Amino acid sequence: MEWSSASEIAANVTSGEWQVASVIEQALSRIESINPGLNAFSEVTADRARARALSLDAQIREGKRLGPLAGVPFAAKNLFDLRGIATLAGSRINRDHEPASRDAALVERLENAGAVLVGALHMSEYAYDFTGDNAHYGPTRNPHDRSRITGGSSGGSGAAVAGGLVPLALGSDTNGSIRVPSSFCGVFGLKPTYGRLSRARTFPFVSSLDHLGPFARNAKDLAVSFDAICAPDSEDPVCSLRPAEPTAPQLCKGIEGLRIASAGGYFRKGASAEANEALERVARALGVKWEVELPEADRARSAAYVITATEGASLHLDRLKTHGAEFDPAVRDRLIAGAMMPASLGLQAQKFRRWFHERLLELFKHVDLILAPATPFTAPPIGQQTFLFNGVETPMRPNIGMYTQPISLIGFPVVVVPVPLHPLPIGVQIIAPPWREDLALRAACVAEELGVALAPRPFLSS
Amino acid sequence: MVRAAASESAASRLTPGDLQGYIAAAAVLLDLKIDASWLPGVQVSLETALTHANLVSSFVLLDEIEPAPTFRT
Repeated sequence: MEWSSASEIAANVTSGEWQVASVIEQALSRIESINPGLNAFSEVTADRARARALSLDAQIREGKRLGPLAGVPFAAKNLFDLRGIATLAGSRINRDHEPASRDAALVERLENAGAVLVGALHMSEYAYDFTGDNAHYGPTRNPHDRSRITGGSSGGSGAAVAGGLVPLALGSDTNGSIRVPSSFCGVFGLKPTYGRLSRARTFPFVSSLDHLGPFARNAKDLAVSFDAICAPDSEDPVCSLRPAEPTAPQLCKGIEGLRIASAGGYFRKGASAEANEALERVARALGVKWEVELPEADRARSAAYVITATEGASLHLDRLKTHGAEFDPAVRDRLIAGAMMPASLGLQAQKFRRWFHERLLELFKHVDLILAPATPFTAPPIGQQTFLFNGVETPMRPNIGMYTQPISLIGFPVVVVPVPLHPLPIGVQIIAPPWREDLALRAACVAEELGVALAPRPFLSS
Repeated sequence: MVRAAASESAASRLTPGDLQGYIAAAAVLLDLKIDASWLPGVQVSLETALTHANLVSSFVLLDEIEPAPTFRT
């Protein structure tokens, strides 16, 4: 049961083979045993989970049909509001906040689909980091090698799913914070189209770039969970009014007729042998024979950097004035710098964002999917500061997201598929045009069926 | 189209004293108290951010290109 997929759990619960109470008890037991070595969970909501499990089992006995995620344990990055808990967003400062009065929209929707929340997950402070480290709560550790980082900022989400603590987790992605941990931890991750999923009742970071999305250990779970949480929401002014378009029913449709290319140029610079090997395996599996160039991708990455710096600073300016000493210094200094950027530079980045968006829409008239590495390298050791970029010693932390940032700048949907290299996995981005998560998921499914994409199971002891 | 070298920083056109003065003045304008120990990190962060901003701003865009945020009623 500990490595069961969400779909397997839901099927066994629905058939009566498994009781929700025993599924949840096993998950809680595994979390208690394994989490101290991973530091994935910031809070385990055991009482809530057990009460809900009893309620769901009673509903099943009454003949009620639960949803497609019946009995599935899941956890959420601790920027999602959870009823009765202060929303930390990885910070010390938010400990003083009032407990949330209501769950985040996506948490409610997963529970409406029958899933059971088991806890909140660690993240980098205020989501402003790619490593998964946290100055207040310590690093979250990679289940495949606990001396290595998970990636961030949804480090706890990546670790919890990769480590078999839960089959599903929710995270967020502003510049790569779902895709980087998916890559380093060897799991499937979905950053949907910007505005696709409701951000209601989550702690923000960069309004122009924030996305929410699921982590799972296979493409089917990703599709089913995405479908369960996807719907317009009037409580989120950025959430699209576009009706939900289910992806799971067509997940196994294959990729015949789809035009799939690899991203060249910028997305080849600095990639390690492992990043290139993973990309080539997925490209071969999907029959990719050509490359496309995303124009000015380096500027797109810089535009994302500038928008993040300026909008992030604006969000936190009051906190910097009143609680400056309580921030992670690395986060604080970047926020202060962002506050000091001339406003015209931020607007110029937003104009470039429009330009890049239009160029990529044109590109996608000639291609249906584009592949790119998710990270330049596999998970580095905790505390490593630099890496070799084209033979030059380069700061590591800001460059982990070099391949993810240009895509989240313009909000195109991405599925990351894990490639189980040895000794460490690494992810590949499958990039689709806006609103076509279904195409990326179909390609992920093919890569998985061919054995190229797989969430490897780590050996973990308590 | 003017393309600046990626490593050129707008901040590099200032002397170290000028940049520190800019940071001090901006802190006053923002009503932000910055501990002296934070200044080196803030300076490096600002230099990095300005390098990225310079790469973006050196790309000529038509006046008609709207900034990306949209307002949906």
